[in-house]
Amino acid sequence: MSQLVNLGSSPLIGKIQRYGMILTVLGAVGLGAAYAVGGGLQRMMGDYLLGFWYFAGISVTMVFFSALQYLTRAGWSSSIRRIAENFAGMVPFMLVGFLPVIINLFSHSSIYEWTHESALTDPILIHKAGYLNTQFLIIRLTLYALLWFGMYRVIVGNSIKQDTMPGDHRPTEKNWTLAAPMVLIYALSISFCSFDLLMSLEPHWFSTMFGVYTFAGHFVAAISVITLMTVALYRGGHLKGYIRDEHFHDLGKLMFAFSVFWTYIAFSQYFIIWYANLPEETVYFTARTSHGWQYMGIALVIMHFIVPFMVLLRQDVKRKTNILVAAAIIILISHYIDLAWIILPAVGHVSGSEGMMFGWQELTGWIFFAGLFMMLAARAYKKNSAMAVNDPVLAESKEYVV
Amino acid sequence: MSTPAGVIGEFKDVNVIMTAAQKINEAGYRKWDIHTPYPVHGLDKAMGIKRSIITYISFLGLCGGLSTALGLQWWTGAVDYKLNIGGKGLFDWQFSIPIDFELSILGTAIMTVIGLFGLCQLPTWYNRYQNDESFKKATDDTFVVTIDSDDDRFSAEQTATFLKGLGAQNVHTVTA
Repeated sequence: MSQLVNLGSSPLIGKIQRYGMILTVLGAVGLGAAYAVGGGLQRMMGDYLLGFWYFAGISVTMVFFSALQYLTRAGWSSSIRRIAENFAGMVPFMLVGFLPVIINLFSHSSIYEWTHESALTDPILIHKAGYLNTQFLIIRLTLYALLWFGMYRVIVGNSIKQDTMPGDHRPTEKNWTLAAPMVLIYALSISFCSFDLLMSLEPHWFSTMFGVYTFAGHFVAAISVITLMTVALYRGGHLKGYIRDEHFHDLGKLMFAFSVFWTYIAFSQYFIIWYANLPEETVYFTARTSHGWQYMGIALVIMHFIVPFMVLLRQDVKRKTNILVAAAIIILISHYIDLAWIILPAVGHVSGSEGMMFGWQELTGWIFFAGLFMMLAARAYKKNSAMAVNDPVLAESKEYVV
Repeated sequence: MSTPAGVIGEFKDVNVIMTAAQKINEAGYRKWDIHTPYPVHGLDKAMGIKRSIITYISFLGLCGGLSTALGLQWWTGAVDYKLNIGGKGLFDWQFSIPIDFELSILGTAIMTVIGLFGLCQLPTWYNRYQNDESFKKATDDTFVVTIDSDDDRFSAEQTATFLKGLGAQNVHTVTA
């Protein structure tokens, strides 16, 4: 097959674009309302960060997913790999997304405690000032944005270039060579960016596991988005013969494996801190297991581990699209709870309220970026083929059996 | 003439063996098998093999491992000889998790291996077909179908004709 598959005018993509636009407008209005009447600048910034990092993390992880398929020369995923690439549409605009965070650093009441004047006399923060300072953070954020843009250009760019070059596999071969360094860049940049954006919200606290922890959440959420889109394409009757039960089975296995992996990392992080019982480490968990935040933590254990584990354990249910969709939605909700549980207690602490802070305001940032995420995906579907039609291993995706 | 132990037939084509498997299953044979040089995906479905009960045996192993882990840690640390380690509780779920996890896996793994040996009837020291020349080809380039004589529908001539009709070559009766 070398005919391009353009779904730009299909009802499915039209729907994604329409809902994307509605959500963007709704979210923008909501963010404005959160600032004006819902709790002021700090709360609005916390909600912005929550929404931005949720979808930015998923988008960058989509590029990583594609790079991983090139790195392993995976045949099974070659018919659905383009879903990940089309849903990475936010990646080129990362620097714009970082801008509000950067501007917020200069505010007197930024959500990052280490930018406050009190940090100048805080003995722990004085020691960390070499890394946690405004100039260096801006340099780092710019660097991440550029690195991710580079990753996007190489991996997604070559994948799309291959579509119009039947019989000439040089773009794919380039990706095969470059996938390994791209995966390395992803691993370092996503870890350090989560240190900078999320972990430094609790500047006294540190966890070397934090990068892996957020990666696990982003990866399982990205797989869930891919699963939802695969099911949507399948039900819409698109890519006939190229999306099969085997793909659902494999996506189900990945969702299962990485929700367990997230649990493993999350528990390991908790366990070590609980055992050592050192004040500068336990502060993170004491804040998150009191004042009402413990309910979110319990919800996380149930929805990010127990429910996906129970639902996806059996072999045959991974081939049933209804169950996969339900599991994917549960995982996406729990990923939201996960990030909210990391970000909101710290933002609440900075803005002077220890109690649980969760209301309509917290959904606005997520809704805004969900809309952008969908609109940019629809844009990619209008521009690019919906499948990597000239991929040298595409035939394998059509034939393989688990 | 000694009593037949079964009928054996050779197939060369993987697509033919797929349809043959389906037809043999539909004909009502139950004590039969296919021996292939490599794993043929989808053959189990064509043969009508049901889902194995091994997962339930494994689950029993998990329950055994988990309850051993919890019971042992609770009884030894909090009941029989109270141990204060680092000021933690005598029995806390947090510190029990790694042991619960490992013993669950150990129990599951042991029961899976035992269950597998039981369900596959291992070790089997003698197979009625093992001296047959056709049967040995299954390790090289041939798909070999064997239908045992203790199957209710077995009759040496009819089963052999049936296999020939499905496209089998070199169909012959094996005597034990």
